[in-house]
Amino acid sequence: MKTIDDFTIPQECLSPVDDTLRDMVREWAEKEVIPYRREFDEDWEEHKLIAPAFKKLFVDLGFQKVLFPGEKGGLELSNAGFAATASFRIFLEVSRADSGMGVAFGCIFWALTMIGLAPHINEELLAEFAPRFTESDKAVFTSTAMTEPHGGADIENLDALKGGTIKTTARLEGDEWVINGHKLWPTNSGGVADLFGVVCTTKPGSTDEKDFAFIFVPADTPGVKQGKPYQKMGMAADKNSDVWFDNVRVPRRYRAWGPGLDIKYFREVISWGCMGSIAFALGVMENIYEIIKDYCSTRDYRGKPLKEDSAAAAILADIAAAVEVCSIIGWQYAGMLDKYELYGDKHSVEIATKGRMHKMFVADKAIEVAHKALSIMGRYGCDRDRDIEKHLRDVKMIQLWMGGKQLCQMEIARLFYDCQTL
Amino acid sequence: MQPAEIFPYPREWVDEEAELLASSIREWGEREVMPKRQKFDEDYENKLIGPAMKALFVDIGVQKLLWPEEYGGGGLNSPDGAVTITRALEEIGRADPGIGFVAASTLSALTPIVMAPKVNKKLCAEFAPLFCNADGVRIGSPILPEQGGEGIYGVAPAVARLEGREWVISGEGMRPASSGSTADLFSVFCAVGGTVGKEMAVIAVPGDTNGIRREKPYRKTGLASDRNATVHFQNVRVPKRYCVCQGAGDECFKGMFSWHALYASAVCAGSMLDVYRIVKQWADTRVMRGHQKWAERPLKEHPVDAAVLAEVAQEIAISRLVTYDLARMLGRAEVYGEPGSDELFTAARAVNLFVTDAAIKSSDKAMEIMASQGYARGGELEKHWRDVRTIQASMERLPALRDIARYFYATGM
Repeated sequence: MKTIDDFTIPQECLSPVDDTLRDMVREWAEKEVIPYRREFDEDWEEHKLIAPAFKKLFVDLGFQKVLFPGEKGGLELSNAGFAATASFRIFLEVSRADSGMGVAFGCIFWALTMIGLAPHINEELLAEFAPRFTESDKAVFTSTAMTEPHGGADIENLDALKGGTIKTTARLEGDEWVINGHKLWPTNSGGVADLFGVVCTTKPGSTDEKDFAFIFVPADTPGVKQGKPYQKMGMAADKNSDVWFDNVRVPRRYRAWGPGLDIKYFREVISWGCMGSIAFALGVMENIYEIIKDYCSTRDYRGKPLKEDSAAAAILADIAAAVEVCSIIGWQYAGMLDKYELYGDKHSVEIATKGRMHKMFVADKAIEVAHKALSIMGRYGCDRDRDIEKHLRDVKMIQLWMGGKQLCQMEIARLFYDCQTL
Repeated sequence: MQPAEIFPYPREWVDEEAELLASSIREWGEREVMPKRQKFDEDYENKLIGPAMKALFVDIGVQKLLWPEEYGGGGLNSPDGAVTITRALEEIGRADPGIGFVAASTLSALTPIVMAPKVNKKLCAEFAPLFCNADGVRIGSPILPEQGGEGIYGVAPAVARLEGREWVISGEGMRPASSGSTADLFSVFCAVGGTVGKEMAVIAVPGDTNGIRREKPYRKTGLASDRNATVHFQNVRVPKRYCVCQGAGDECFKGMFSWHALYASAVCAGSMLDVYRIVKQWADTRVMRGHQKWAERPLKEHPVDAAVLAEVAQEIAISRLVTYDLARMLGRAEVYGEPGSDELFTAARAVNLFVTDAAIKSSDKAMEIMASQGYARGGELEKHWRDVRTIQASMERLPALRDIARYFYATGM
């Protein structure tokens, strides 16, 4: 009998620890998440059910340590040469159970990709932050604060705007950065963030790339305030809120790299975000495949299982085809990030834009798959007890975050059609 | 100008009385529902939805609309009242598709009793006071055939046998179209004869009849105002006269379903009108920058976004027109045939499928434009997205495709 493990993965893209990671996370998901996930929507504010599952994954299984150096108690993933493909597997398996948890987990490393992934590792800063993650007996969350109230996706529209619309300011006073601004929507905010990576400008309105700054801010620094979590249509495990920075002072060394380099490596945050988004969406698609296969194998239509009805079978085939293609694409993109010597820098416009392209394709397909599965289930499709509708609400959000669909389209058009004015 | 006036509809079919009713409902929506609807999902104690429904069903009188005037009703039981009902349901759906779907299902459940020319006077006399003289909300709920079994329209959810002057009805785990936990009157499709056979009947069953057991309301994607739940009938006994339709094959089903498809489409058309209002407001006021200084302008002035906005408007415009066309066709049997005819049943299926698809697509595309504000609960849009998705699930897409193929391609499925 075919299972999700029968969808094609380019074997060259699997990390050497793939089997171990898959088995560990899948066992955690089956035991700690899948039996409870139908209750997560009501747990969006307090995380009474969600937090213990996070702790098992982050702390007990040790996944919050993976990026950091061995001498600091970490597992050295940053230099291993397979950070992306190993992460892809973890993200996918977490998201198969709950993509809200997938993104919350993925984002603990998102800001840290600025300083923690070969070939550019800020060893001093990574070592300084490591104990927060490796020595803690609670789940530690990182949050990347980009979006701002006035322009939303504009911040992420790097190639068009060069950071010119960023309103959050960073001013150097002696050996400290003084940060002021207001951010919206960062994953892992709403009171759970322990460490922020904040997109700032050192000169408001400037489109000089040297004025783009990415600065780390511990959440307990005076002047940082996280609002109450937003209520959303899905992804209850991912808390988002307003975050205010009011004369927040952090050491000068907390700027990731410095003028010109922050914006350069920030594109890698985009690439990594796209890779993660693809993994989250693929995890959802694989679970939808499992659910709808079970439903259509056990539900009768005119004396035979529903899957034997050719109209239903045609839709089931579309679902399987979408999962198959997205599996190949997703794993391939993760492999491209690991093999940057072969495919180009992870922070290059080409790789970031191809990430946008793959993410858009996979998210669109995931939504189609969820709609199709839901339609096959007819009047039962929208029942919370069937899990498909939760996945639909969640993947719709995957499609729209990181600047939304039109931003993806514009970046792709710019790269492949040499558009000059978009 | 209101969205309802911007998008074209055949005004020559909508009389002054219909517009007055629509206007009352619009005021109700703007006063009683729209300021509070974002809290409906958590309104477990019915503190918000209950008063809003009472204002609509009782004070405006939506629960009376379909009953003949001589029984205290609004007299819209003539098929040509379909356009007025459509206009009313549109306005309800604009405010809250959940309340709209409860209203639509109530009307669908009553149709086999009240619809001219086959008015069932005995049952009107018996049941009209329940709806027309009540000072509380009264809800009807159809329990329709379900996908599966041997029948081409699915399996009857219940079996009924005559014992003397009573029908004895049994059905386990039935899923009504709506309001399983709250319905005052069910219209239940039954296989007649004690076993699942070829003869079907629709039997009216008051909600307080002995032998009815209701489960807790479903937790579902949307339609929070619809407290639907699984219902079990165990040897439920009702008088023989409560059978409102009995016949060979699927005549009963097709007639009732055609009306249900119209009513659900009207609710979705209304939802789409509000989606338009929401996304237009966003596109008017949200400024997006671009590569050039001149690109700093409202979202709607960017060609890529304008193209998506155009698609949203296109879905709405066409959906609204075909819904009114269906209403007109169902109301003119002398021209188009009976609502239960293969032609009209198929047209109703096709229109409903098109409109529910369009409702999903338009809210989906509007959400793309609004990005995170689209999926934030505070942004209003996502509720419509969830609600129309739930309506389409309830109307069942795969059986609809089979029904359409059966008529146009003479398939035997």
